[in-house]
Amino acid sequence: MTASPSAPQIAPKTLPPDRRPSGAAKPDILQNAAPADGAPPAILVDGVSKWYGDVVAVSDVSFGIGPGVTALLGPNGAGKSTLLKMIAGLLGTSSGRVTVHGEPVRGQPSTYRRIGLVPEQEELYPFLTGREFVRLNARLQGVKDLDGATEWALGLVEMRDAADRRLKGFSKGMRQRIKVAAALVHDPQVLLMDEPLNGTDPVQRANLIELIQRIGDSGRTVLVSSHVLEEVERFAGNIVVIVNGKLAAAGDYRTIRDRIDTRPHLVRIRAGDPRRLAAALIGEPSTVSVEVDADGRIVAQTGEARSFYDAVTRLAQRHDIRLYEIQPADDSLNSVFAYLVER
Amino acid sequence: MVTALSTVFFRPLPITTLTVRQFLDGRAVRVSGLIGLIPAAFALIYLLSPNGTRFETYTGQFLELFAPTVLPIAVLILATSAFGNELEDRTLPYLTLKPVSRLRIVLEKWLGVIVVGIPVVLFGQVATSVILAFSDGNATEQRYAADPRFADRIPELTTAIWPALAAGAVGVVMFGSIFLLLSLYIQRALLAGIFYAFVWESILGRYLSGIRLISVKQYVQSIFTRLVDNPDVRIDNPFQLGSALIVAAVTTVVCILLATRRLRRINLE
Amino acid sequence: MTTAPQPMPTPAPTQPTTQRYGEVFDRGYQHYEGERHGRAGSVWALTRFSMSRAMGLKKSWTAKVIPILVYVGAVMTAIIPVGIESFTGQNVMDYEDFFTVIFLLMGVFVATIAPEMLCGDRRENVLSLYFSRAITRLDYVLGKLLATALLTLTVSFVPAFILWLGRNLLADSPLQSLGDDFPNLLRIALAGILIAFYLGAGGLMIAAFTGRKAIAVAVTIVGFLVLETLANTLLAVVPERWENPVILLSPINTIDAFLTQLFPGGSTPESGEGFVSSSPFYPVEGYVAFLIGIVIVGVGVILSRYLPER
Repeated sequence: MTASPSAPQIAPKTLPPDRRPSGAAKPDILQNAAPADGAPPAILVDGVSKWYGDVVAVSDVSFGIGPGVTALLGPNGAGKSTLLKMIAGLLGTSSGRVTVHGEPVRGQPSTYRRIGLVPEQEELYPFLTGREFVRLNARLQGVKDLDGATEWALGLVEMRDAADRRLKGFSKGMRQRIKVAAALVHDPQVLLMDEPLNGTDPVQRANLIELIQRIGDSGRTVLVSSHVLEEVERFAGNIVVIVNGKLAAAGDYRTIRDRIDTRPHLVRIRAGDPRRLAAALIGEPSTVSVEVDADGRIVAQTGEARSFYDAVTRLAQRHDIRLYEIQPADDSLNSVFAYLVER
Repeated sequence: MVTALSTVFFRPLPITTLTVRQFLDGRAVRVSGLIGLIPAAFALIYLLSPNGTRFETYTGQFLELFAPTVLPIAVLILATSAFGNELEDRTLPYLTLKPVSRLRIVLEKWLGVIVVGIPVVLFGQVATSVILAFSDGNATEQRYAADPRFADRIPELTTAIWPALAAGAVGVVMFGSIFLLLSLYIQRALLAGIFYAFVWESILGRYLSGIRLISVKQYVQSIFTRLVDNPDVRIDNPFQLGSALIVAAVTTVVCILLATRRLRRINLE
Repeated sequence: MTTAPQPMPTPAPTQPTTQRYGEVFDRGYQHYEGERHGRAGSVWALTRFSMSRAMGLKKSWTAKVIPILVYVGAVMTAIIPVGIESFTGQNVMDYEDFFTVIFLLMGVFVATIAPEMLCGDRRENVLSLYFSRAITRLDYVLGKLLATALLTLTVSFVPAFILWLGRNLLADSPLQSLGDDFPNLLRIALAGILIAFYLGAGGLMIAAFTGRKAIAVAVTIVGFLVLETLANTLLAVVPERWENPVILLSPINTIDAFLTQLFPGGSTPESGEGFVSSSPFYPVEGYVAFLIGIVIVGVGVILSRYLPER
C-alpha cells in the first residue's frame, strides 16, 4: 500500500449534547468529513436508528467519517456493534441511511469491493487452512492475482508461516490476524474492525496497531470498535462515542475533552517546594482545589486550564520554586470516555 | 484428494466448493448416508427370508419407505445445514459481504447440496439393488426363472433401478430446494422438516387426497411409476411424467428465487 | 461469613527514604468460609441449570414451543378419557394404552431436550469450564441424565397420574377407589421413571456424539422409528425363539412389551400396526433389568465421550 500524506478528517459539527435544543435539526455532518472535492464522506451515517420491538438499540445517530483511523467507543450494550453492522450492511436500519462513498451498502453487493470487515466473532471455517480462507475471500472479492494478494495479506499480519495449518487449530490471536488478512486481501478503501485487538498478545497487538496506523496514514478509512482505550489512544485521534444508543461525542478526543468544560481539569505538578507552591495556587481564581499527594506532587483541579497554567509558571517564578513537571492528569481517552459514559 | 479436487473447482465455483467441503468435514454427510442406507438394511433382511419377488421388494421399498421417509429426511439434513451451519456459526457474512450477487450465493449453495446429496442419498438405492441381486428371489420367482416359458412373467430388478435413481434425483433436487429455502427462514428448520416428512407426507398424505398436489413424495412416486411403466407398480392418482417434471422445475426455480430474496433482506446479528 | 479486611497502614512518609514501603492486602478476594454443599450440591446445581436451559426458560418463545405443545398434548390425552368416562361411565383407555398413545410425544420431547443438554456445551467450548470446577466427568453425565429424566418424567408420569387421579375421583367412592387402585399408581410410577431414564439415556447417547443439535434431533427421531420398523420386519421373518430378543432392538417395542407385562389384563397391540407375538414376553422383572441395564450402558457410552484425550 502506498502512503499518501492526507490527514485523517473527521469532525462532525455536532454541538455538545447539553446545549443542543430538543428537536433541533440534525448536525451538519458533512463539513469536515467530506473531502474538498465535494465527494461524499467515506462513511456517512445519517439519522440512523435501529429498534427491536420496544427496545431501541441505536437512536438517531448521525456522523461522517473520512480517511484515517476513527475509533468507535461505548460501554457494553451501547449499540456499537449494531451500528458497525449497519454500516457493514449486515443489518438494515429501522430509519435513516448509511452510505459508503456515497453508495448505500445494504442490498448493493458491488459496494463491498470497497469494504473490508473484521467481525468480532471467532468462528471461521475449521476445515480450511489460513491460506485457503484468505484466498477464498480474495476470490469472492474478484481479486485477479489470487496467490499474490493472498501472500501479501498474510505477510501484512505475519501469518505466512502458520497459514497452512487448519483454522480449527488456530489460537484466538491467530484467528484475529487471519480475519484481518482476509479483510485486507482486496485492498479495500474502507476497513471496519470490530474489536480487532481481542485475544492478541502484546507483540501481536503492537504490530496490529502499527498496521492500523499505516492503513489510516495511507488515506484509507478505518473504523475500529474497541474497548482497549489505552491503545485506541495511540492509533485513533478521532473517536465516535455511543452511549445508550445515542451519539455522545465525536471528533478528536482532546478537543472533546476541552469542550467538556463543566468538569474541572486535573493537573499534576512536580516542584521543588510543593507545599509553598500549593499555598500560592490556592489564592488563584482559576484554582478549584489543590492537594499534595503521598509522593509529594501537587494534584490540582482547575476550571480554566490556560489561566491555571499561566498562574503556575508565574507563581513558581515569583516564589523561586523550581518546576520539574506539569502534566494534565485526566487528558486521556479513558477519562474522556468515563466522563461521557457517566453523564 | 478433497483438497486437490477442490482446487480444480474452486475458481469457478468457490462457494459450492466451500459447501461441499463443509459437508464432508461434518457429520451431516455421514448421517444422511446412513439414513439413505436404511432400505439396504431391509434388503439384508430380505436375503434371510425373501418375501415377494425382488422386483416387488425393490419397488415397494422405493414407494413405501424411500420416497415418503428416507429421501426427505436424508436431504433435509444436508440442505438445512448448507445455510443453517453458516447462520449458526455466524460465518455467512464472509459470503454476503462480497460483491457477489445473492442469486449466485444461493445457486452455488444449492449446487453443493445437489452435488453431495444425489450420490450420498442414492447410494443407498444402489446398495439395496446390489443386495437384492444376491438373492434368487422368493419361491415364485425362482420357479418362473427356472422355466424359460415364464421368464418374462417376473420383471427384472434392473428395470426398476434407473427409474428409482432418476426419480430419486428429482426428489433430491426438489427437497433440497425447499429445505434450503426453509433454513433461511426458520432457525429450527430441521425440526420443521421432520414434521413435514413424518406428519405431512407420511401420515396426512395417506388420508387426505388433496395434499398430493403439494406433496413432493407424490411427484417422486409418480415419476418412478411412470418410468417403471409396470401395471403392478402403481400409486393412487399419479401425475403425468411431463407434469411432474415441470412442477419439479418450477418448484426448484421458485424456491431459489425466494431464497435469494430472503438472503437480500436477512439481518445477520 | 467473611473475615474483615486488614486495616490500612499509615501512609508512607513524604521524605524519600532508601527503602520503599510496600505490602499486599487481600481486600478484594476473600476466602469463602461459608457452607459448602459438596458433590451432591454441584450435581444438583448442574441438573437445575440444564433443566431450565432445555425448557427454554429465559429464551424466546420459539425455544419453548415444542415442550409446551408436548405437555398440552400429553395432558389432553389424559383429560379427554377422564371426561368421556365421567359422561359414559365406560373405561375408554387403560394405562397401557395411554402410555402407548403418548409414546410419540415422549419421543419428540426427548429428541428435543436431550440435544439441548449436551450439544450446546460441546459446541460452545464450555466443557473445560465445567471440568475445571469441583465436578467430575461422571458427575457431569449423571447430572445431565438426571435433568433429562426429570423433565421426561413430567411427560411420562404426570399425565398418567392425572388420568389415574381423575378416574378414581370420578368413582362412586373416591377414597375407596384410590386405595384399591393404588397398585396401579405404583405401576404408573415405575413405568414413568423407567421410561424417562431409558429414553433419556438413549437421547443423550446420540447427542453426546455431535455438537450440532439439529443432527442429534434428526438421528434420535429417525433412530426410534427405524428401529421400530426394523424390529417389526425382523419379527415377521425370524423364528419364534428369536422374537423376544428382536423386540429389545426397538425402544418402542421394548416399552410396549414391558407395559403389557406390567399392567396385567391390558390390551395387546393390534395386528397390522405392530406385531402379534405368538410367544410370551419376558417377565416384567426382565424388562426392568434390561431398561436399567441400558441406562447403565448409556452412561458408560456418554462418559466415554467426555474422557480426557490422551
